[in-house]
Amino acid sequence: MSVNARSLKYLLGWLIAGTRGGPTRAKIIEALKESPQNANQLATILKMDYKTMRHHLEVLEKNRIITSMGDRYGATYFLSQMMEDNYALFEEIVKKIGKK
Amino acid sequence: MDNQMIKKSNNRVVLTLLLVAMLALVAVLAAFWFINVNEQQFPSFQQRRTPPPNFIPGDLEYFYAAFTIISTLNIALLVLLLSVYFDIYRKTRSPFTIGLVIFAAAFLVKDLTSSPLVISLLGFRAYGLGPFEFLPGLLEFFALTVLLYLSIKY
Repeated sequence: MSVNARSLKYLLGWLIAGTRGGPTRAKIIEALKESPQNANQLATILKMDYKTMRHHLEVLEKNRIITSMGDRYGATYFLSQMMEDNYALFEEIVKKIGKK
Repeated sequence: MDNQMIKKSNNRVVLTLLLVAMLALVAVLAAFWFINVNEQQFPSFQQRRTPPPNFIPGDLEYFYAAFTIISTLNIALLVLLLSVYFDIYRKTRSPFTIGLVIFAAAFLVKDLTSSPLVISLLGFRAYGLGPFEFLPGLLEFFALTVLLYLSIKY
């Protein structure tokens, strides 16, 4: 495992299995893998409060798991290159998650 | 893939050896303690302890009072942290979270055993440490605050 993948694995572990909002974030990453979307669409699909969704998207973007394009409110989010390259690591973590 | 599996099992061996070494150390220390207690035919803790001298330069009651407060706060923080981690574990069943639960639980036991309240309940008394009685506790308090903040805010 390269050094980069190891740090990403730890970061994902922390963001998904080490903090309270983790399970929700796993769902967001899965949804964004399928297709890039904006905050409103994500909130509707995952049946979540818009403000909560924005909070999670900010956390994920700050940690470079996702990136965005467009202005702040209409921005489309998609997985970062680093995340796309190492998506198997995410699947490995989620696989161990029994009930989400 | 094979290389990775070998690496993984190597890691496991190293961890197991480390754990066994730690357990052996604890067993040796416990044996010494038991022999020592047996030799003295189980006198009470107070009798075994030499009382502290009346005056130790630099040793102020203030430090011990401060540490009692900080240590109680640390225990409260750890209980919160443990409950947050436990809650995440129930939702995710992730091995990463088991690590966090063990980490918080170990710290909780550590803080319970170093709390002046618990120490005095067991008949011991700490003295002669001066400011070093409460400085480690203060730093631990900062560390735990950061960890709890991250776990709840994120």
